[in-house]
Amino acid sequence: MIQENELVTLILALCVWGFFFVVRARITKLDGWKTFLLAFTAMTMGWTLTVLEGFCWPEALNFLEHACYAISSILLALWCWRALPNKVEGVR
Amino acid sequence: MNWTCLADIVSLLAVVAALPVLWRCWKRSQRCDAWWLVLGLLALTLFHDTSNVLEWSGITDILDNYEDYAGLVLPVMWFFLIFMFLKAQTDEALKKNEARLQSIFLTTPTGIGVVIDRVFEEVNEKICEMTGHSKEELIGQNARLLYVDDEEYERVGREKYGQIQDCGTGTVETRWQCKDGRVIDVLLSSTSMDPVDSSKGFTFTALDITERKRIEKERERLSVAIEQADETIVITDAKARIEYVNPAFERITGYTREEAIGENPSALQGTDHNDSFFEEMWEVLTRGETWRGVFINRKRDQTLYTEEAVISPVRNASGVIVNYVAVKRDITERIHLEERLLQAQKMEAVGRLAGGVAHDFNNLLMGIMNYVELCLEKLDPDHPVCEWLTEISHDAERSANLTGQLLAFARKQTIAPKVLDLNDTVSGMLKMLRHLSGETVKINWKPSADGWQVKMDPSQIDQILMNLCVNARDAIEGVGELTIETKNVTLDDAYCASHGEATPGEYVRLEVADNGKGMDQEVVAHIFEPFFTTKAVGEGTGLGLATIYGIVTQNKGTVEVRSEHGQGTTFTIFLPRTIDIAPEVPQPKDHTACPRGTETVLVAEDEKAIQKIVKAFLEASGYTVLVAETPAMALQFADEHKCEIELLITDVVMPGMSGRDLAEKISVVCPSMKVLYMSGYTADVIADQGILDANVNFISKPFTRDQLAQEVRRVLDTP
Repeated sequence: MIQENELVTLILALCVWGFFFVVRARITKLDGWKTFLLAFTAMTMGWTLTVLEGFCWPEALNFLEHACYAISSILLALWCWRALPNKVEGVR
Repeated sequence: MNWTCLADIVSLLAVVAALPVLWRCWKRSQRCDAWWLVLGLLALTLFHDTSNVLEWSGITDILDNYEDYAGLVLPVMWFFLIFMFLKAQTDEALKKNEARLQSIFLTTPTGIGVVIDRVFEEVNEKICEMTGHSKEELIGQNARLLYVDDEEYERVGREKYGQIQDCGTGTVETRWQCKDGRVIDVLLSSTSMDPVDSSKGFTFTALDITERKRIEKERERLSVAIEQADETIVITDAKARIEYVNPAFERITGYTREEAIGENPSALQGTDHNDSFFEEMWEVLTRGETWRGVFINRKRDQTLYTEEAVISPVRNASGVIVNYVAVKRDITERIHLEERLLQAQKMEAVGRLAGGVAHDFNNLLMGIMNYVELCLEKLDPDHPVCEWLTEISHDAERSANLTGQLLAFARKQTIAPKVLDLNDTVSGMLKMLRHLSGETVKINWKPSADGWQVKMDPSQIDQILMNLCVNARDAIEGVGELTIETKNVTLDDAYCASHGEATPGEYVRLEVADNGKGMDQEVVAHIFEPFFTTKAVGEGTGLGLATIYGIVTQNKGTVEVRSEHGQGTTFTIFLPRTIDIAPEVPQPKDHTACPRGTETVLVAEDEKAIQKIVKAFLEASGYTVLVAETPAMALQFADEHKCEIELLITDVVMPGMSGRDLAEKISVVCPSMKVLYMSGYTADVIADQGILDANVNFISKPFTRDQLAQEVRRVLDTP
């Protein structure tokens, strides 16, 4: 069964991707942008899989969904370690 | 526990692992909007993972209901996070840009400012430094403050804002007056802050170009000096290829600048110097020293010319020789002048020597000739000694002729110039010249149509023509022609500049040309030197042409010679025209009889032999003679005899006092006394350059008894 909140989350994520596309030239100039985008990609894949698990292979897709979350968290943590101190400094 | 739970645990641990970074930022007070967003994102992720782990572990599923909301917020958090970072990126870039512009504004060596309606809104430190005004003194003031006058202020405004209107920017040179009164040259460039709305003001840059202008002027002056210099200036690169030549080079060599540039000077001008000459020159130059020397180069038309050169190496800032600069002066004319001067000095020295010798020799000859005459008078004509004495007399006369020629060359010959028509004089000599040159030489006489008159001693014309005629006869082997031509000519500056001693003016040209064997240039260079002859020993004295040179020079004329081996010789004599009127020629008196007298004559002469001879001659002619060996003795006689003395015969040059001074002193005591000078040569005491004053009576040594008697009588009879 498709849950509405999961579908809304996915739509919001796709909107964020649209924004990313528009400002892609500027994003590529940010520190650690690849790690950051990969983290968001993994998160988006997780949100996609949680919608898909309502249609087929619920157990397998659920596992992959959580695996994607794990990957996203790891990449987000990596990005925090590598880029955050500089970025926060720069943002001040 | 299954694999999904394990993934959630890993996710949870990863998020927890990121928290120390946030803590560190917290500790460093590096908190901001982005920091809170990261914290929020991590918190949501932590919440999401924790909920999953708790659910799988069966502890509680109470968080599961809130997890759905967290899932909805997560993409929004991601969006804001990236948005904040991008905004931060923009702000950072703007800040950097602002800092950069500020840095440029403050540190640039160019004055920068902003004006609105020509009122200073902002100026940098450099403007203050340039003008001496402080920032406070300038901001809010009209730009007129800096201009020297209203006119300049208006001009700059008109030109600059006109350019801005036409092409967006305006650049104009002007002059600003500093606070201390100094005036500086400024290059102003302006542009509008907003091309659409000029009320937003204009930014401007002001560059102090005072020093640049000074250097430009200096360079311009230097450039003009080089361009207008009379000396040739050539600049080559280090490999001696010409990079620059000035107009003097083009003028002197005939090569154009385009032809010269890129060429090697020696190759271009085909110098006649050998390799070692250039090797030595380059050895000096490559050592970095200045080379000085003389080149003999060829012009474009292949004529040779001599130039004095100074070549200096030019070094760059590193000390490496990058150019050579040659300053060269055409000294061809100077060398010719020096050669002519040397020749003239040589002739003058020889002339002085010859004149001196002739003077002393004339005194000796006079004694010889006249004692021989006295001996012949005393002896019976059949006496065997008479024949020998006659030979001595003839030899003495020949010697006297020789000394006469020496004096002529030395310009010490005493002459009595007369105004005469050269055509008449030459015509009168033709018969004698034809006789002199012989039957095999045909004389062509080409007189000028309306000949100008000259003023000179006729005997000198005779001497010139006779000498040239004899030379021509000797040069013509067998049958030949001798052409004598006169012509009126005017010598201009250009002619005189290229022909040695000539001076501009009107001349009568006497040209004597033969078609004989001619002479080579080596001989021509020496022909006017005394005792220089190409004739065999005993056939010529070497004084003929030297005499001509002396006569012509004495009469302020010039003589030139053109000759080539096998092409004949042409002597051209220029005698200055005179506008004096020729006096009526008096009828010659009959001097055949030796005149006599009874007057008292005072003779002042330091040579004992001459004293005796003159005394004997005069006494034999009936005169009372007082002989003074010195001027002092002559003065004493004058005091003693006063008005009895009717004639003073004095040597011109005597020890202690000249003849002229002696005559003046005695004239005080005896005012009616006449004076007759005698000398081997005139010196300048009684004549200017050998030309006698009209009122001076002079008898040249050696003289004969008859000559002395006639001259004494003539002087005494002159009223």
